[in-house]
Amino acid sequence: MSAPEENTELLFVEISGARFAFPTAGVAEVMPLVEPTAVPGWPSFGLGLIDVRGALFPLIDVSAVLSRPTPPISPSQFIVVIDVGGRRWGLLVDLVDGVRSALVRPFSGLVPGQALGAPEMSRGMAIEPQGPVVVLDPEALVRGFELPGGHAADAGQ
Amino acid sequence: MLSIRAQISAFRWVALALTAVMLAIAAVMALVLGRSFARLFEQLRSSILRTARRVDDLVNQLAAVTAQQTSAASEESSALHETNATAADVGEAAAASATRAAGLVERGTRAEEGANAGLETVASAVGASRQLREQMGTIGAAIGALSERAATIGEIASTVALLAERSNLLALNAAIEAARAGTQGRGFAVVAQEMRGLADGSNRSAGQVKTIIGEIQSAIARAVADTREGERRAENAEALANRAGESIRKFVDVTAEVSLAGKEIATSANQQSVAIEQMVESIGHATQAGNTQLETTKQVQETARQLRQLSAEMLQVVTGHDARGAPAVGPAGS
Repeated sequence: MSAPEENTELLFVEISGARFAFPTAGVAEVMPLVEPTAVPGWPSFGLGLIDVRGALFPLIDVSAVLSRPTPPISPSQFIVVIDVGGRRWGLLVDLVDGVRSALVRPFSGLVPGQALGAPEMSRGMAIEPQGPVVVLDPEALVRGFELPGGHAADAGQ
Repeated sequence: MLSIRAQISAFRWVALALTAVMLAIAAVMALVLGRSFARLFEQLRSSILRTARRVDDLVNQLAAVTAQQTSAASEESSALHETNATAADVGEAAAASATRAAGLVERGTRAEEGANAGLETVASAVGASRQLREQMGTIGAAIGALSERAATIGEIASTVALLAERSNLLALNAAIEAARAGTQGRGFAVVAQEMRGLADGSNRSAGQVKTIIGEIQSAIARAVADTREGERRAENAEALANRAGESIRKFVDVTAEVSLAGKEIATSANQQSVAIEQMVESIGHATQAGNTQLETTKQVQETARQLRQLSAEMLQVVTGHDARGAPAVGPAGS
């Protein structure tokens, strides 16, 4: 759902050396890296299952989904836990910057110094003093991911 | 030599007596007995002449012999003088040798003193090295304790940093919840923000502590390396000092031997000196004796000459002319 031009609470992160943002509305929590248990047969951006307080959910390599360079997992990375259609997913990010309110404008293609391989993943661009930041759509990121058992993620609204 | 003089004196008196007797007889004969006695006198005269001639011969031989003796004596004298001079040179050389040997002994004694001082220095150097090594050991232990403390502090700093990170995340999640709660969550958002501020501060402090700990550990590592280097150098110094001590002891032994040899040389040089002195003395005596002999021989020569003169005059008287046949000049002298 593309956001109108209004201030939105955003969670700013860093993925593969570039700054991105998630709308806090879809974010459940932020946590340090938990070593995923790899599952055979998953696509490459499906890093495996993680156990958080007894609950299991998949860990997604966002940089792979965005067709950006994917360095190996390191313990200094973080997991942004998102809630999509009642299911929880973990998104692997390098750094978590903070929660801030910013103006979001529609995505206008290439952001200087930042090539987005999949523009449909974007909800818009956040206007920040340092420069525009692509706001990612969590639902779009996990869309089409087939879980074992055949249940794909909901497409969202 | 004295007996020869006495004999020659006696001979003179005999010759004189003979001459007197002859004259007396001649006078008596001429006066009392005439020509027959003159013939008898003539026989007597010829035998006296023969005897006088024999005396002359003998005196000549004696003169020749004494002349030889004189020249031999003077040769002997000059040879003795030369020998004396040479002996004096040798004596000087022996004295010089003795002096040098004494100098050698003195130098040997001084060298020994120097070596003993050197040994003392070596001993104190070895002692100092040992002390240094002990000190290094103590320093090393202290550095070890320091290193452990630094490591402990480093661990604590890491824990603080971890806690700060967790607090940070907690604050973040609180902020997310607050954002989801909308207006109701605004107050909570502020609290969450403050929490993040605190967490950031802790994180920074922990970071600073870690940096400082890192610096301390580098300094400790350098100190350890320096201590080890110091220990190694002290060990080397001790080994060197020990080797120096060995060399000095060997030197002392050699010096003692040299000293002993010097003393022996000095002793034998002294003995040599004494022997040469004695030799020079006896040469001196011999020279003196030779001189005396020369004197005596010269006197004998003089007496022989006088004797020859006398016999020549005697012949003159007896024959009416001298031994060479020239007519007589006057009455015989004494």
